[in-house]
Amino acid sequence: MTVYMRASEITKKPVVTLAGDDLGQVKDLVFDASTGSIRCFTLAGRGLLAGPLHRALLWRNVHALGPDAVMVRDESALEEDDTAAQPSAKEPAGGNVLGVAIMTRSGARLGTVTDAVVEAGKTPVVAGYEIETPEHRRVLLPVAGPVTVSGERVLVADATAQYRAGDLGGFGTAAESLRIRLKEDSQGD
Amino acid sequence: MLFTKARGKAVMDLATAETVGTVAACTVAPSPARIAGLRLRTRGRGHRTLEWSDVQSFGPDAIAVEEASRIRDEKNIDPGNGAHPVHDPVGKAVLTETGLMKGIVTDVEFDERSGRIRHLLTDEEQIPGDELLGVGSYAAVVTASQ
Repeated sequence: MTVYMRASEITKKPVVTLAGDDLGQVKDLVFDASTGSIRCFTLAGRGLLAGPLHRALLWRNVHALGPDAVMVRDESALEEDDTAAQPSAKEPAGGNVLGVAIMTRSGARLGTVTDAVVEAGKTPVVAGYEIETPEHRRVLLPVAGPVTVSGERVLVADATAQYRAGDLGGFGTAAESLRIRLKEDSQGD
Repeated sequence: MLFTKARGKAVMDLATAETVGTVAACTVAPSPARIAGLRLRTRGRGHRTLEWSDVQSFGPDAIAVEEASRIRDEKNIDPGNGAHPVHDPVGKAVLTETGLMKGIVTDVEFDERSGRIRHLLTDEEQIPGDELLGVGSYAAVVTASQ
């Protein structure tokens, strides 16, 4: 079964090696504004008084993302410093997807991004976004097919607007329906 | 044998026939899953460690060692060594390699001749020793069953 979780739920989760040692906990997520996915985590030490670790964990070095821990192979999965977490010069928006408007390709504004929905497991991916609609409701919107991201907006396929879920329990069904719909659309062409 | 049954057993020196300590905890190493060492309570402060390879025999009432000089102060053991106290699984969380928590290790079932671990026990289930990937400061990590 596919497990979905909000990206914000990943913060505070321990980062544990396959040997069972904890390296720290997730402090923050850094989004990649050019792809809309997560680029890396920043880490903090474990315990009450521990400060930031200044070592980034790149998304691709995550062994698995689970409901109780972020697993990595060993300590070498961490970067030596946290430069990966700094916004690069190419991204004037500050490298964040949160707060950005989400629009369909035909130009309808669906809302603003408040969180990302992550598919947990061995190849974790951003499967959708939590958005705040113009009516100030929070809904979960699956994304599939071509997604274009800039510092100003996230562009999604038109069909996306019809598939939304109120909570994570319904998100899997919405994501699956959207995938089937987009597949049918592409076959119809 | 269950580790909780081994706890408190005397460790005797075969050269002097004296008791050198009692078993307090065990440490484990993966692939193959086995007891790597025993933590002993001895007279004086701190714990001492006996590596499994130095155990002469693991009897029903006592554990025999050939030379008590093989028992080391655990401060002198490298954390990478399987006998280091960080590899004691009892009381630690069981995490699958996909990051799912499966309970707390309550006991270890092992073969007292070879030291091989048959099962890690939690309140809910018995996890085969073959599934163990490692025990560290935070958790015992096991392979995901599916």
